[in-house]
Amino acid sequence: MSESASAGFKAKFYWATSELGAVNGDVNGSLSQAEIDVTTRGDAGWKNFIPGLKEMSITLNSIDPKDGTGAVTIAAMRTSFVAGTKAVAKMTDEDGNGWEFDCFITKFDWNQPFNGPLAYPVSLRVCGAPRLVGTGS
Amino acid sequence: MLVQALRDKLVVITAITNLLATYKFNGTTGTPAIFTINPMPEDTAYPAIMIYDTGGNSNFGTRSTIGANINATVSVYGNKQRDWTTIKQAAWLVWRALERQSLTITGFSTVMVRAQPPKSINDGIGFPGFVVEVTATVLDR
Repeated sequence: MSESASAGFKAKFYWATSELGAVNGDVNGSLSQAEIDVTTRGDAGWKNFIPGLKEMSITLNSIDPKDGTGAVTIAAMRTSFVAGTKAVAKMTDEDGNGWEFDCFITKFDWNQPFNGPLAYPVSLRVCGAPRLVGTGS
Repeated sequence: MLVQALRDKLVVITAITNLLATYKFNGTTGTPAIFTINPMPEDTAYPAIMIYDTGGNSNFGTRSTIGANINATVSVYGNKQRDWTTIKQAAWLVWRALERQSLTITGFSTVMVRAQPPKSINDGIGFPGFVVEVTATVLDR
């Protein structure tokens, strides 16, 4: 029996159809679900819950690419943020399995560290249900 | 790579080369004694500069492009008999020429260059010197 794990740096993040290759930190996708307390006296001293609403958000960090497709992708994300428009984005592993979703940008920072490259920390809010691509995440 | 880029940067700064001895490189006399080999040739005159790789790490890069922090040391050595004034002056000029300056490194896109202020050293057999440690943050091209 063999075991393997996918390396994070091989994963992909796409804004529309363009891969953002200038990612130089973690890309974190968070899926969560609210819990609704429905405990009654009939639960014999144990709390009881039912699942509530689900949500998904993504955070990532990209350096400022001076040219190439990375610069185009960052520019497209900036345009979307300024216009307040949604886009289709996708995060997958190296084999193309993961999530695709409609989203908008809730944070588009521009960091100018004195001892490092310019960077864009970005936060995304997923709208509605994300869609599995490939075999999913 | 980095050591050659550093040599190319320093060898055209006359304020530095005027303080150095010369050496016969590939039959050409009168060339500033700036070496990218360690140790330097035994027949070199002093003051002389020796630039050599000191490793680094791969803690920089993106998903699409590998990168690295590359280290090199620029050593300015003098004669046993010579006072420290010249090599100290040369070492500070090296620092000024490199700290947060642009640098063209073949095969890489340079993001940033840092140089640490000169540190006094002794090679163990009495030759005085100063070293300037350099780190270049680069992306592979």
